Amino acid sequence: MATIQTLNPTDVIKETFGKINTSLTNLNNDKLEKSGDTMTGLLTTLGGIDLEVSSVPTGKVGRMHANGATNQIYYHDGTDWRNMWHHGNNPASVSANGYQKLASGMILQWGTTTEIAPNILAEIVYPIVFPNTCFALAATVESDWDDVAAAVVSYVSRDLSGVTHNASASKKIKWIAIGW
Amino acid sequence: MVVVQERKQPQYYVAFDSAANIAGFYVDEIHGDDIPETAIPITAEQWQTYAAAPHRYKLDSGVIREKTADELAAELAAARAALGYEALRRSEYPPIGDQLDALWKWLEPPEGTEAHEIRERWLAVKAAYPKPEGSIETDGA
Repeated sequence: MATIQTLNPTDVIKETFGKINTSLTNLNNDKLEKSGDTMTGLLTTLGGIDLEVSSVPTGKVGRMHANGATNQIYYHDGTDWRNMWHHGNNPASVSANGYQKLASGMILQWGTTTEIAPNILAEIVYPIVFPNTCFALAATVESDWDDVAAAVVSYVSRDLSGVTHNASASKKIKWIAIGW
Repeated sequence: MVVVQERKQPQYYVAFDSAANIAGFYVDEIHGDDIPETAIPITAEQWQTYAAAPHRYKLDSGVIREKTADELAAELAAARAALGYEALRRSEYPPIGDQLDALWKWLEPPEGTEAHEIRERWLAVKAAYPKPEGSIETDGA
């Protein structure tokens, strides 16, 4: 049975990966373990984690920062800190009528309406209200090849849009909207 | 061992306008503290149902319910009543293809005119793609 040697976590990180910011107090890293070249366990600090590695090989990340208060993770590309995108800061609902928020704040929304009578002004209520504004909405008519029709977007607001189509009968409208 | 947490289930809300129609949807992970106090919390399944057809639901005495066929018909009638005569006519005219087809069947423009040339081309297309026995021509075909 292999023996796992438990080491002082700060020393392990220094020895294995470079140096760690030890200015933080109340370190609680007694669960870190090393086996060969692999470290496992939970590295915890108060106020977030900063990990810095010296002599960084090409293609490896040298500095990282995780901010538990804002749920953001950053890496340093050598010049600037870059925000990493993860499912915690990119909420989405991948469904027929759904949305995807990007870490930049941009939100994509899409959907298909129920059948709408031709030549009347109908409203598309987005799956979620855009917190600030909707920049644009593109709409098209779900129709057959022999009933080619167009959809017109009359107005766009942050919670809904007005659309009309000119097909010969009631049709569904497929749409996509971009905002933030 | 670090356990990666699955994304927690978002909490959705629906807001209604003064006419009790759905005015918008909200979700806590995006709107945070900006969700209207009057918005009603709903399940993810309810959100998907309502978001797929918002105009079919209304708030009735504090309860969200599907509108009746009569209510939907009344809304459609009101929307049509709001249209001007041009839009109402446009929606009920025969398709433009059918109108042109009827005219070309009836008109016989004199030779040498542009209209005659166009009608000849129209007849040539009909001859190139003859109508199968028993089929019905539609939309100016």
